[in-house]
Amino acid sequence: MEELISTGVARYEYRHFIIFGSASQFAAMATECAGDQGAWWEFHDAYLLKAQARTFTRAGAIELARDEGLNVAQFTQCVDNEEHHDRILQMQQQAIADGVSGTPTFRINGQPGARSLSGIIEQVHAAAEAAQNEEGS
Amino acid sequence: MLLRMGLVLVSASLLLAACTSESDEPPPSSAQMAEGQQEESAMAYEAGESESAEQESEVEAEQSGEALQEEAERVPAQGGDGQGDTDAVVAQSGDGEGAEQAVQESQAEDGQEEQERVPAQGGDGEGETEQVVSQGGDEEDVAAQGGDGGEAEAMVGMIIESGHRAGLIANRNVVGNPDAPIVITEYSDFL
Repeated sequence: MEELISTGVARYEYRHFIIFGSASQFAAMATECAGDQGAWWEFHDAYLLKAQARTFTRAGAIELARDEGLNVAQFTQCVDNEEHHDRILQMQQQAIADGVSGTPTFRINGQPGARSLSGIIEQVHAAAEAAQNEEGS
Repeated sequence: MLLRMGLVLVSASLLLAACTSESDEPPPSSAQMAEGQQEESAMAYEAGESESAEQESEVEAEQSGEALQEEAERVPAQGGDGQGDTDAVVAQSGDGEGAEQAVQESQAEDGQEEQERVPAQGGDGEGETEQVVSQGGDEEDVAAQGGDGGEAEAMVGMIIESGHRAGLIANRNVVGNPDAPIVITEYSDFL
């Protein structure tokens, strides 16, 4: 997967799909607010890979922002004003329109992805070959 | 006359002086003499007994040492591989040097056995490491089995790290070349 991304064959996009309510929505908004300061993936990792219950609260998010060295005042204002609410809502509506109903769901060029990493890699390789064949023809 | 009286006085004073010096340390009585002889003989008896006891103990120790050395030599030969056997020998052994040597020899043999075992254990450790590595290698297979929950999160983590750690962040939620022909999209929830 790393090779596919590093060689420019594929790119990876993460999109919010809120199914667990306000805490999930808050985490998504906090992540987008961190993204304003270039720390989107740091918050993503914190929430997805090493999440703690307190992280999903306002105080926890602010503490995390402080730990990441962000401008806490700016971050707090962004979170309190729900500045990225519409962006997240738009992602949600688009996902539903694309037929997404659960998480995690993968799409390869809009097509349903396999439910395994090896399956996704195979799909990406097949799509890359197809793209090369189209360019060749 | 005066000279005679002076001689008498001198002799009397000499007698007095002699009597006073002898009275400071009275001569021992016969009873006291007897007690002293008994004490000396008792001390001599005790010393002789202890010497003989030490000699006996040395003999016993040598005998037991030889016997235990033979036992200690026999124990490994019998295939007693545990330290428990050696410990049993130690428990039976006396204080003799022979026994100590036998124990040391047996311990040395055990030490060699332990040293021989250590690489074997190391080999097992490597095997375990290999198993761990192979288990690590199976992460992909685990993820390949698909399903929701932890397996999917592990898969997501691998995807993220593959691009994230490589410094391929394009913008916010995008990793990799924004113009890449293939887009892998993940819809997910942090909770």
